Amino acid sequence: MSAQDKKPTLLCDLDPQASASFYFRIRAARKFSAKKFLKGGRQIEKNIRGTDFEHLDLLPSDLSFRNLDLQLDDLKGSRTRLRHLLSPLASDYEHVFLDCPPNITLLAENVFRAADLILVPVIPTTLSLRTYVQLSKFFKHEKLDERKLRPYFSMVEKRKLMHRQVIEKVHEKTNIFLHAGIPYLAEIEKMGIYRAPLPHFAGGSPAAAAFDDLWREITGTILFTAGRPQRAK
Amino acid sequence: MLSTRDYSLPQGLSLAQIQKDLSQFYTFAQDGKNSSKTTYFDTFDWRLYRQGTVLARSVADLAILSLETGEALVSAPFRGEAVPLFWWQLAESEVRRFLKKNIDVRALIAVVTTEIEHQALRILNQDEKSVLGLRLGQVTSNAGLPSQNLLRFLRVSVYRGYTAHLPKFDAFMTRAGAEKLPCSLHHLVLQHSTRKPGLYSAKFKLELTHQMSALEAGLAILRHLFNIMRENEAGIRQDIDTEFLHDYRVAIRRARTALGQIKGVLPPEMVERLKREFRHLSRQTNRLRDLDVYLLHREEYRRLLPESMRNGLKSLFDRLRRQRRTEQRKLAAALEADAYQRISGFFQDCLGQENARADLPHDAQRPAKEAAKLFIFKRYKKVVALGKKITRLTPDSTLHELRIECKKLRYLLEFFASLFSGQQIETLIVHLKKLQDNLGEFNDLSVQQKFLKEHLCRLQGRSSMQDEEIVALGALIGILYHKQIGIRKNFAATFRRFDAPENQKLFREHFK
Repeated sequence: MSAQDKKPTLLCDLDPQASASFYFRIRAARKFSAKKFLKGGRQIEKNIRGTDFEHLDLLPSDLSFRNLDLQLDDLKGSRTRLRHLLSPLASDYEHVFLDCPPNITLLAENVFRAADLILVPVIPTTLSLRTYVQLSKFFKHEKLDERKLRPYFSMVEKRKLMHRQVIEKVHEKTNIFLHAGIPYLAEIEKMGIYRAPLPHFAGGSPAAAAFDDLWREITGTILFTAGRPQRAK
Repeated sequence: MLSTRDYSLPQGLSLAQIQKDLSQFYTFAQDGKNSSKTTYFDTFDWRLYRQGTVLARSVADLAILSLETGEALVSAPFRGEAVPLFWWQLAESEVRRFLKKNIDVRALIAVVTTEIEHQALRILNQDEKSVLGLRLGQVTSNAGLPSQNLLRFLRVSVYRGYTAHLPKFDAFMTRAGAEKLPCSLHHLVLQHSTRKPGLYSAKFKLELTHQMSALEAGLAILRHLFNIMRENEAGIRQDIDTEFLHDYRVAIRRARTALGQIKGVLPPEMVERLKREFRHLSRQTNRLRDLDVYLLHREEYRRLLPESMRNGLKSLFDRLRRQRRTEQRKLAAALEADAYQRISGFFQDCLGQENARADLPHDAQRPAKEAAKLFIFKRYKKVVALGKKITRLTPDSTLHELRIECKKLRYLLEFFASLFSGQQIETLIVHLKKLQDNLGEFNDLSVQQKFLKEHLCRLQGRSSMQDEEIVALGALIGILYHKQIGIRKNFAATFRRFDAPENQKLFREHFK
């Protein structure tokens, strides 16, 4: 959607499972690896691929990315490495998205420090919510800026009482969570079959509309942060 | 998507054929057909072309394209009916800023319109990821292109990171008989338009040969100037922009200098008649040009006055605009009248005949370069003698005289530049130009003050004139006077630079 807004956008796949790369039909070059990725500069530049969609490029990941944590640990400035790697890209892209594995690791810490906004999908269950609270506490403990966090409800099934109750309670107690939520819809899973982004094969669907609403709400908040190029998880 | 490459296609090669031949290596995705219309614009004197660019209007935007790479340097959305003529008529955008910098007061004129039918295809790898995009274009209808010269081209776009696929495709295209386009498609289209790009220039550029006699050179110069006049007529009649009249008048001025300075070469009767006609034409166009110039000064005048006084200038400019409209119509009519056609006919006739004359003056057969040296050096000496005389106390009229002498010298240098070694003549002209700029500005300010004073006097006492107009005009005259004094102060140093020993040496070397 960032690309549809005609803003040059880069999607950086940091997950060794490479789902984002898969969706866009892009494979990493054989010679590409976590080590090369961490070298940055030319290594990153020459591995960026243009997706089939205008204004959207992708930096694919690779199975070797499962070692990113270990490799980061070996390096100096291990928690801010990613930020340094990505800063040269700011002049080419208006938005850089980092697709990260969903856990709190050294890689995640890098992302927390590199990103301007962190989108956190939360399934509206007590367990998921608890995970989010953990994340929030981690931020406090590490003195990271909590205002970067943009949690939103995902895989919402309105039929389930627990989902409805969790959402209601959260919105009552706090306004940190975004109002737009992503419902659980079969359409979304179909990205794996079509191997194309949702707006491409189901542009008019409720699923696409939900993502659109989410994107509009997020970009609404971007307008109020400082004028640096934005990076979101 | 990043880099693109354009090929011209041999007539027999279709997209279907390319697909068939490549299907052993790749799969394809069809993207359908569409057609697009693009109109290219530039000023009459090709200001964009000289920067290696062109303005292109497509259905939803305006873009400044590089003629070499075909890429858009800047673009802006545009959905108006017609492309406006002037930069200030566009909404604020990078395109507007580019035009403001490069075309100034000139209008944009449509050069050629193309309609291209596109057929698009994507080449996919084994993951069915697009790696190359192909777009076959057929230039179908066109205002300027003769219909048999249809351009068929293929544009290949490489998706970022997939450049490895290009060499194979390139080799295939070469085998199929396709050639890379020698320049961008846009450049190719422009070259096919009826008006050849870059040909017209306001600068005097004429190649004379060393074999020419003074007479032949003189006639060539006058012919060239006469052609420039003819080329600008339509623009004056249609009132496209102010510079058509300006270029027309400069051509006349140059012609009058040629007639006056190239002495003893052209048949005297012809010279007399031509002088008369040119003088008449000059007079007919004076008023309109003056009005154009004052209207162009509007912003500057407003800026010179304090904000509270600016409104006083409004009625002056309203009056000038009305007068301008009238003058333009008068001149347009005069240019269409029979009298003008007869004069044009006369110019064409007498400038056309070559040496078949009985009444040739004695210097007619002298080699052109020899004669040129004489004319130029004589004028140069006059300029230096006059300039040296000028002190703080010299009356303004002497500076005006010097300005005119400088102009004659400059025109002579330009007329005969091709007969002398290019670089050094250029240098002399540059130095002379600096002196001319100083004298020119001085003269302009003098003329402007006179005009405003006359205006003030004529209208004082009339009930229609407001106090605020009197005050504004008075203030403006004072400011211009002050400016003029500053310019006069700079004269001495400027003249000294022109008369520097290096320049003296150059002039003597070439022309003595």
